[in-house]
Amino acid sequence: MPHKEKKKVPLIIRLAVYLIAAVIFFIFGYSFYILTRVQQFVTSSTSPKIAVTPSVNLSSLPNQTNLLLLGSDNDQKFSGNPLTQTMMVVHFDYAKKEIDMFSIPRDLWVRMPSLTSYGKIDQAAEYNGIPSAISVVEQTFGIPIDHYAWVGLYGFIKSIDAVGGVNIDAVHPVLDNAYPTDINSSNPYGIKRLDIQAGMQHMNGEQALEYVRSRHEDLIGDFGRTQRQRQLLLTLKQTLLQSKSSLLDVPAIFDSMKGQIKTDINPLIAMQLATFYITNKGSITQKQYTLTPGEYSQVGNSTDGQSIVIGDATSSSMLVGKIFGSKAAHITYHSLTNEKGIQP
Amino acid sequence: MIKKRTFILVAIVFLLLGYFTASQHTQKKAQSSPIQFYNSQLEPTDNIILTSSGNIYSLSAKNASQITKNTNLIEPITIGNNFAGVYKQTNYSSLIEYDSSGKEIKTLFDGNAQKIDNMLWITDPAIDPTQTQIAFVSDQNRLITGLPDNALFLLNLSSGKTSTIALPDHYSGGIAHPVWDMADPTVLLYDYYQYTPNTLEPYSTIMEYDTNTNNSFPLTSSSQNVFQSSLSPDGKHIMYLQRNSNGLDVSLYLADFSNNGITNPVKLASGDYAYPEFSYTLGYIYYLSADANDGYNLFKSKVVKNKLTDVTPLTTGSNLQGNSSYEINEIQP
Repeated sequence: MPHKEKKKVPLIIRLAVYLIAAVIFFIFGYSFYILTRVQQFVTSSTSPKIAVTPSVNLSSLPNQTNLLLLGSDNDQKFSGNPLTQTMMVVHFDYAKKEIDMFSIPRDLWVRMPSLTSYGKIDQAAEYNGIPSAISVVEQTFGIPIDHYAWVGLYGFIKSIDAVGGVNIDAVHPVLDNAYPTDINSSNPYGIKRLDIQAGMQHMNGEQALEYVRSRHEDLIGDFGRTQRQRQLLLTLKQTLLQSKSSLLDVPAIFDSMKGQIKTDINPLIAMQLATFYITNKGSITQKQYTLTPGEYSQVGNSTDGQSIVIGDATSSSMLVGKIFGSKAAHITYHSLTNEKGIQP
Repeated sequence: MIKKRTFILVAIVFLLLGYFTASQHTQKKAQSSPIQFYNSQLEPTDNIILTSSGNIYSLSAKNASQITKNTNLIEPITIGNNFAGVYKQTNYSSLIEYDSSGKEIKTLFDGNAQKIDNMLWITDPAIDPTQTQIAFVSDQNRLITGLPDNALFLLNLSSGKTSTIALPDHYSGGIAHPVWDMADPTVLLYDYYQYTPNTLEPYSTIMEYDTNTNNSFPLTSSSQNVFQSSLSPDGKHIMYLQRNSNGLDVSLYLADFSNNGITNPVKLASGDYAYPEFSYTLGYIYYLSADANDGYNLFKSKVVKNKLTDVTPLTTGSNLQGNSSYEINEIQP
């Protein structure tokens, strides 16, 4: 019986198969490293969950994600839980293809996590860290917070530097005669004079921090700062989308920010949010909201003499309802009505 | 036939290679490299004075020369055959004059008061067509009036005295970027930053100051939100930037300029533009711009049918500061 000869695969085909396999396994290896680093980053930077009794029972809504962004500028100065001077809820509505950014004034007068006292909302985190800040946002506005991300001074600088800086239009000149010099300084109370000219310019991490952190000599004080923070977030997002940085840079970017950011966003959630944005880029509606004085709030004083922002229950609840729905509006109205500790 | 053992070997090797490549990869940050000039691309009519890494450079189609060394300057101007620039430090800035060899001659404005409470900023110097006075903005009035924002001043080069010519409202945001009309020394334009009364949104308008009447009046409205104007050498055209509602970029406009103010505006482009300037050759403009997250470079472009064409980089290296203006002078034939 004649020997049945095995059909030989042409050399070029074999080489092609090995080449494709090599590329695929290289990508697998690379991706595996990135995923492990990102997972490690999230795990190492997530605050331990500490139960804080919420006064409202909220559940996440389908097709929506609420991400609470928190920023502190005194995390390097003092021990204990830092204030969260920046508080912004980013609301993703997948069905409506909307992203809303809702900024909360740091001086907004609200009921504290203890449920017995009142204070500025940025002080909530002093009670029990990030869980307290989340709890106060939930109980004040009726917004279920699905995820959070917190960044301190150095984390902010490193995040901007990690993407090579940002090109941003300073929409107003920023002159500040008492800007804190607490970066790389042993004196937490030092100050310097700041002069940022208006117009398009390239800012590194430290310069971008100066732009969004300054609030002295500004007619609208913290509200001006909030406007600049939102602008920087949009610019940063734009920078990332247009960036020359590639997937190859991801591990180094995460490494540079390790320990400077706290979040419970795991790679899958990050992928989900990024996919939503990238696949619907052209059709997504993005809106920005804040409780501006005059329209949604007024500046006043607490009975203990602090300068505070008092939310207008009617207009604020209507704004919150527009973004987060009627249940949130209802809770906002009640939480901002009959607040205690405010000078008449 | 594909050999199973070879395939597994390839898989393991490249899997590990991918993993270790990722672990070794160091982030490539966008860093500025030494500046490169492509000055031969300049229009032959033009001489450009700019600063890079703190030094003043003079560019023409034939030459690119470094004027100063280790000077830490921005916003350069020419004063006759000399140069001047803003020496910006933490807490203060000064205006310093240099001769054509780059040797420091004198301090025209000293913002260094030793004590931080008395230190001053000087910004945006602009020399008038007669070369006798410099318009600039500064916060020096805060020491007298408590006004924290930048006001507009004139520095008389003969007497060395300064005079206030326009004051902003308290906490308005202040004044920036004075620009002379080279065809009419009585006309000085500047940006005035304010907030809308009800919603407290920041905006800027272009104002005109008349040196004959000492009066200022707005050329644009709050809704236009425009800034950084530039007048053509014959004073008949104006370019300016308008902030776009997306908060991310600006639009570059070209319009007619006359006693009737700004008319017939057309949008040339949108992007991250800064400090547009007219060439002395009709139809050409210069501006600063950046790519993605890189720093700024100087570009030249032709304006054809209200569009930018033949965009040519004049510098590379991304180390021009987007917030530092430059000056264009005509090369005398």
